[in-house]
Amino acid sequence: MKANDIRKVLILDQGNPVAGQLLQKAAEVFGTDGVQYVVLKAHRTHNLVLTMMEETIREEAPELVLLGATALGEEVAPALGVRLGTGVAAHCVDIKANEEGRLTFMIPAIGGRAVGEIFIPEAKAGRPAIATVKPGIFPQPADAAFAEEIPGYKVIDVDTMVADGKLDPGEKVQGGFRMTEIVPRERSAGSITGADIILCGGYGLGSEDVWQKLETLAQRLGGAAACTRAALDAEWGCEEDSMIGTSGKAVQPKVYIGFGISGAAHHLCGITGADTIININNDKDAEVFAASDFKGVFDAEQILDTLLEMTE
Amino acid sequence: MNILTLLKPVPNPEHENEIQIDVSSGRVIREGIPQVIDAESRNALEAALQLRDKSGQGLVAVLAMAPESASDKLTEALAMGADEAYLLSDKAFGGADTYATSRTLAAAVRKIEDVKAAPFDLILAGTSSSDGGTSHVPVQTAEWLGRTHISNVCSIEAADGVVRAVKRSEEVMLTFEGEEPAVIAVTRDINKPRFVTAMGIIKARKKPLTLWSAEDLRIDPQHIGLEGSPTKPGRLLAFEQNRAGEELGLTAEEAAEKILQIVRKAGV
Repeated sequence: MKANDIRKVLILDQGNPVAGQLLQKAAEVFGTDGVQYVVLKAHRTHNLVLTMMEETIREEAPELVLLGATALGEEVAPALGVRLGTGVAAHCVDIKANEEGRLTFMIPAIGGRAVGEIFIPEAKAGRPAIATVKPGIFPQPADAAFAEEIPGYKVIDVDTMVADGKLDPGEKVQGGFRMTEIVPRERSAGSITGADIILCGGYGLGSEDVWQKLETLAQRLGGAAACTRAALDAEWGCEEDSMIGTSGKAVQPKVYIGFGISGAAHHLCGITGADTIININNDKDAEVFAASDFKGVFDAEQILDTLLEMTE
Repeated sequence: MNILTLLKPVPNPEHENEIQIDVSSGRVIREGIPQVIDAESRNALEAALQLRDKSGQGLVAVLAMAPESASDKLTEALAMGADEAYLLSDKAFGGADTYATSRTLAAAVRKIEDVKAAPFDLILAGTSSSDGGTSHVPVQTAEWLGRTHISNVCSIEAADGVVRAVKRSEEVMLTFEGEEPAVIAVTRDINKPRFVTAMGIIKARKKPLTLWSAEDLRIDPQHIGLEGSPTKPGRLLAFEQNRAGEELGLTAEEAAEKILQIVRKAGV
C-alpha cells in the first residue's frame, strides 16, 4: 500500500498521552488534506476495547490503525490482526513513506542490532495496516488542542457512551473474562518516565553489587535508576517498570548515563529522546558509543565508585 | 488439569552482541549463538507445572515451532517436569510473522486436542520474548482458536473450571475471572522457574517428544511461512546514530568530574 492511499486513520485513545503523539505523527506523515483521523476513546478493559475497535474498523473502514504499545494496546492490536486478516507492525520507531512512496514501518530488527522495514502490502480500507508504538517514541504535541484544527478529525467516545448508559459493556462483550477487581499499582522505585536524569545499567555491570552502586548514585543525583532487558534478566534487583527499550519504556531525560550497555537497538530506540547521552563501557568498540554524546572507555564499577566518592 | 505451554527457543540474550548483521545483504549471522528457552516461556511452564500438581491430575504438554536443532530445549522442558512435547519443524515455516506463526501453532493445538478428544483447560505462554518481543503470539494463537485471552498476567489461580488471573498494566492491577478453556500469557514475576534435576533428566528420556512437519499439520501451504505472513520485511538498516561520542576524559577521575559537570549544567 502506498502512503498516499491512506484516506482514514483510526487511533485508539486509551486514556494516556500516546494518542496525541500518534495523531500528531500521523498528521505530519499523511497530511490533513482529504485524510480523516478518527480517535476512539476507550479507557476500558481489553475485551471491550477489542470489540469496539473491531466494530469501528468494520464501520469506518480505515486503511491504517495506530495504537500505543501498552499492556492494553499489545493485547488489542494482535487480536485485531487475526480478526481482520491483516498484519501488525509492533513497536515501531518510525512510520513513513519510503523512497517509492510505500507505507513503511520501521521496527527494531532481529537481535536488536538494526532497524528493519516492515510492509503490509495487502492492507486496504477495512483491512487496515495495524501498528503499535511505545509511548514517548514520538514527541508530545505542544498544544493539546491541535487536533481540533484537523478538518477530518472525529472522536468516538466509548467512555462517555458507557458513562451515559448508551453502551452496556456487559452486552457488548459476550463470554470471555469479567473484570472483578481493579487496584492501583504499588511502586517501590521512582518512575523513569518524566525523570530528568536517568542512570541506566546494562549486562556489563556484572553483578548485583554494582547494580546497587548505580541505584545509590541515582538517588544521590536525584535521578532514576533504569536497566536494559539483559540486566533485568540477570535479576540483580532491577524492576521491570524501569526497563528501557522496545519491551520496556521510552524516556526523554535531560541527561542519560549508561553503564555497561552494549547498544542493542532494542534499548537505544528507547533513549533517542534524551537531550544528552553519556555512556561508560570498557569495550572501546561498543556500539552504544555511536549513540552517545559523551563516552568513557572505563570499567562501569570504577566510574561508579569514583562518582560515589565525589558525591559523598 | 491439562495444560499446554507454548515454548519459544531464543538466542541466549547474554550472547546478543555476537549476533552480526551484514547490513549490505540484510543477512543475519547468528551461527554459534547458543539457544535457550525464553525467560517468560520458562515462567509459563513453571506456572503450568504448579497448576497441574495442585490439581493432582492431568498433564502438561509443551509446544514449540523451531528448527529441529531446538529439540534439546523441549527435552529440557520435559526434564523440568512436562509430560509430553511437540516440536513443529519445517523449512516451510521459515519467515513466518506472528500471524502465520500463531496460525501454525493453533493448527498444532487442534491436532493435539483431536487426539486427546478434549481441549486443554489452559494454554499458557510467556507474554514477551527476549528476541522478537512483540507480545503477539499468545493473543493471536487464542484468536485463531476462538478462545479468550489475557496477557501480562502476574498471578493465576484455577479450580473447578474457573480461572482467576491478575493482569498488570502500566497503572493498575486488574483481576479477571472466567471459564476454561483460555489462553493466558504470563510475565516474569509470576514465579521462579525450577531447575532441572538429574532425576528429571533421566525421566525425560522416557517421555514422548513428537516432531511434526507442515504436512503432518495438514495446513494450507499458503497459510504458513513468509507466504502466509501479512507483514513482509524490507531492508535492514543500521540504527541511525549520529551523536558525537566525545571522550569524557583520560582517567576515571576526569571522566567522573565531566559527568558531574554535565549533570550540573543540565540544571538537575
